[in-house]
Amino acid sequence: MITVVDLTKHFFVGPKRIVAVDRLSFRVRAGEVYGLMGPNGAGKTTTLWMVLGVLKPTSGYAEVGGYRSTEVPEAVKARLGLLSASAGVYPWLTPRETLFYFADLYKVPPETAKGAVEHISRKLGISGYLDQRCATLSTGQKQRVNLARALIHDPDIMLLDEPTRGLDVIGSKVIFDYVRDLRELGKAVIVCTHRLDEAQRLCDRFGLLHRGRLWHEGTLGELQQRTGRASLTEMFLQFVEEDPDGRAAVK
Amino acid sequence: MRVPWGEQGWLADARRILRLTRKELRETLRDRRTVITLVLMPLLVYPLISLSFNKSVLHGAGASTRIVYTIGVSSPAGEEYLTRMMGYGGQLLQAQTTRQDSADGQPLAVEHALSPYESLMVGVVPDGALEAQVAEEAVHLGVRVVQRRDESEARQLPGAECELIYRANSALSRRALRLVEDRLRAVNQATLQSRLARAGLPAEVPARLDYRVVESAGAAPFSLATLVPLVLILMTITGAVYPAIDLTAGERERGTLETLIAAPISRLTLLLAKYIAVLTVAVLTALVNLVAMTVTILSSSLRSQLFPDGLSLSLMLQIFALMVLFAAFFSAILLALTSFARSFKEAQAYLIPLMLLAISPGLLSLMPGLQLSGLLAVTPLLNIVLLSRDLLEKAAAPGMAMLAVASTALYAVGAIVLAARVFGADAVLYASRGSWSDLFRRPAVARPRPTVNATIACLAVMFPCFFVLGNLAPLLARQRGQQLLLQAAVSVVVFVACPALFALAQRVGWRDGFRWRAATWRAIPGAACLGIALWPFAYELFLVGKMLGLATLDRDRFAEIERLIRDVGDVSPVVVLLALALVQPVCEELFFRGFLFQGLRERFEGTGVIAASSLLFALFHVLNPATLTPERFLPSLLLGLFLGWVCYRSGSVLPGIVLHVLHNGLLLLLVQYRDAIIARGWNLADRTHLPAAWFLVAGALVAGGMLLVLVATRRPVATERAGTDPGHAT
Repeated sequence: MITVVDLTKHFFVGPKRIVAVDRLSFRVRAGEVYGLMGPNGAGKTTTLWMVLGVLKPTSGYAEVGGYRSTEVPEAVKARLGLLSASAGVYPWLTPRETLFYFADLYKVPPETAKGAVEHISRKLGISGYLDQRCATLSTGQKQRVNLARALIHDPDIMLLDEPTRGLDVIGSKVIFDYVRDLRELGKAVIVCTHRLDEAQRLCDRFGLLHRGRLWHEGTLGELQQRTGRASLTEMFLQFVEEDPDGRAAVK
Repeated sequence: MRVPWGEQGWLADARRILRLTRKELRETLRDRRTVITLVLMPLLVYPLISLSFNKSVLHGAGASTRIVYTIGVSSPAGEEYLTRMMGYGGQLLQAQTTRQDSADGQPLAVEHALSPYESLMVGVVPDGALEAQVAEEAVHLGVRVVQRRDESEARQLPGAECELIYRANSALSRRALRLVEDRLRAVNQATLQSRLARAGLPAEVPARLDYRVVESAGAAPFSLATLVPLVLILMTITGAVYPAIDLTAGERERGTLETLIAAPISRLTLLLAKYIAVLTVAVLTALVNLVAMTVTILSSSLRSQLFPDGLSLSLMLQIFALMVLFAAFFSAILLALTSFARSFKEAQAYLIPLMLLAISPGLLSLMPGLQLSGLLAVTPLLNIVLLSRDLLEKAAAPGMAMLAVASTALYAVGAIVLAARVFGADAVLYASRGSWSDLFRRPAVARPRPTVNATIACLAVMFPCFFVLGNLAPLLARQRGQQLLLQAAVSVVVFVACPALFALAQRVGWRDGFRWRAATWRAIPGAACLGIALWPFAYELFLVGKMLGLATLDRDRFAEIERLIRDVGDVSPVVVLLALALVQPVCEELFFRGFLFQGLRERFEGTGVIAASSLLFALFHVLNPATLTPERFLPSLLLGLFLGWVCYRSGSVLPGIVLHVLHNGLLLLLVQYRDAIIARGWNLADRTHLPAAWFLVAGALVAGGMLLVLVATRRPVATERAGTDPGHAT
């Protein structure tokens, strides 16, 4: 469903070139939750933006449902839902207005949008404050509104970038429960997080990123067998100690 | 995934933009900061401005809306005397006209009569304290009255010595002095005339004076009317600033921009919705300000000072239309600038220099005698202020008004294009990673043609260059020949160098970017036929344009053109042909049928590209740097359509160059041999129609030329898709 091939992104800060993502390749199938793991600055968000077609790769490509994100970004965007920790809400709009606005952006017919708003609101428990200005909502409530916003067009694939940052236990649980539901519905999900414990419970397969390069890829069992470490946290600490500059290739 | 909503096409896009605009407006208008700028500011600002005007500008400090000049006299008898004199003097002044003479040679002008907002009040103050009372500003004027006893007409008008005490540095004191002085002089004059009449003596005096007011040939006096558009413009800017920041940098700061960019909708669509929202708020602000200002002016003493000829609804509508145009321009500039910003604070920092830049030409417009002409007509903001002033003073020239409006509209489009490039760009989204140079970095891969956005931006840069350089050329050279060569150089800079820089920035190759490709040689004879045969039709359209009232050339201008034609006749034919029949057409072709044509083809099909490029070609010929020549519109449009068609068919700019060079060359030869032609009975100077036989011959040549071009550019599959021209030689 998602194919990433040799995806590379360079940024220029003045004359200096920074390699944010370096020849990254992976695949995510339908009904699979893929964890893109790594410390801050590993290149997770940049990868997601390139998959989405918002950021142009320096080389390589990402394909979503057969469409290349550089060639037909709008077709790719229409198939994707994005939930990011840094995403905000419109303070002067209500959640209902926000959801209808995004339904329009995603070209969801008004009648379908009406049903979708009711369904998602019930599912995520936001019906109680659907007509309240977003400025008055708590952090957890805002994140639920954002999740609803990302799902309003019923996307085939969800990209979750640090979806539980700043959320309490209950807020995190709502997000995780929904991710499991998405898997059961046959959707492909990419979760980017540096909270490795969370990911360990949620993801089917993992890609471990460091300094823009993919270190290891596989299921938890495969990674445990390969590294001899029990948890993702231990694996990461070992990799960083062994290869602080991130020169290692994918294994 | 659900099937996307079935709405397609430009109408669906327009509807979507309107729906998105509604959301932007809903969000903006719910914010109380917008409401403050929109409603409260105008309600407070204009009464305050009105008050300060009354105080400082019109009457000097210390005055209220109604001014009462206090006159202190030294005794009750003096009070009675002065009151009588003021009343009688006032009546005499009212009866006189501006052209009347006074006996002692002083004009008694109506301006020295009391306005409806002025009055005189006479009161007694202690005799010894009269100077002190005036100095301490307790009264505006002191009058020490010493009555004479030997006056024979004491019963009617008692005689007295009047000493007038005033403050020289006070405008109000000087005004009071003038009013009292004029009344006393009027009484003196009337008394003397009556005595002379009674004595049977003639009233003639050695020197009789006449006064006549004429318009100043030099610098005109400062016009208060200039302040009206300036204040309105500054208030409109104020209204647009907050929504512009909130809808761009605000989105970024709130973290909603990335969710927008992630949606399957073009950045241009998002930006247009935001632009319309900002424009709507700016226009609403302009409207509220215009109404508030009008009401304030009409209900205060400013009315007669600002609008001596009165205010009409149509005038206010014209001013409002200009404000809408200005709002369209400034909203685009604001969006372009605030799209750069990653936070509210950063946007505000960017806007401070812009506001200073905006105020500077505004203040410049207050300079007395500044005319809306030439370069000033294409200077952003200044042109709108000056045009509004001219409208208010009922002195707007239609040509310059059109130029100011067209240039402002073009700048607005250019700013939107820039904003579309910046809005949601990588560098804005990823401040920590990207850099601003990414925005202007040349693309890694060469492009086959310039983008339509780059083409519009290029037009926005070329337009003012065309005017600045076009106006400079005649100033730098005195001889007509040198001027022609300089104009040719201007054509090279404007129509070739400018687009070449844009092509370089976009990594567009010369051959593709300017359609500088080899064309099949068979297209050349056809183009040559058209070049030879089109001029009679162009000439006839010139006459049609004049019949339709498109002509603006008056008798003086025609005389000037006659002189220029004579001058051209004196210049070496080689220079004339080089400048006007070779360099100019080649440069124009490289831009209009080269760079512009290619840029437009990114978005439009063949017919649309031909029509749009012809229209712009015609407009450039109408909007001359020196003057406006609407009568050139129709002939230039005709030529542009043929040139566009030939270029489209051949896929190359070369046949068009042949056509254009021949067309211009032939017209120049007609000018050169004008006298010989006139001698043959066909009088070009009288602008009569051409003989029908000429049209038959020319028509046949045009038809033949078109046929040749069609045959030469015929291909097995003559379809115009994805940038393939029918006759493009490969």
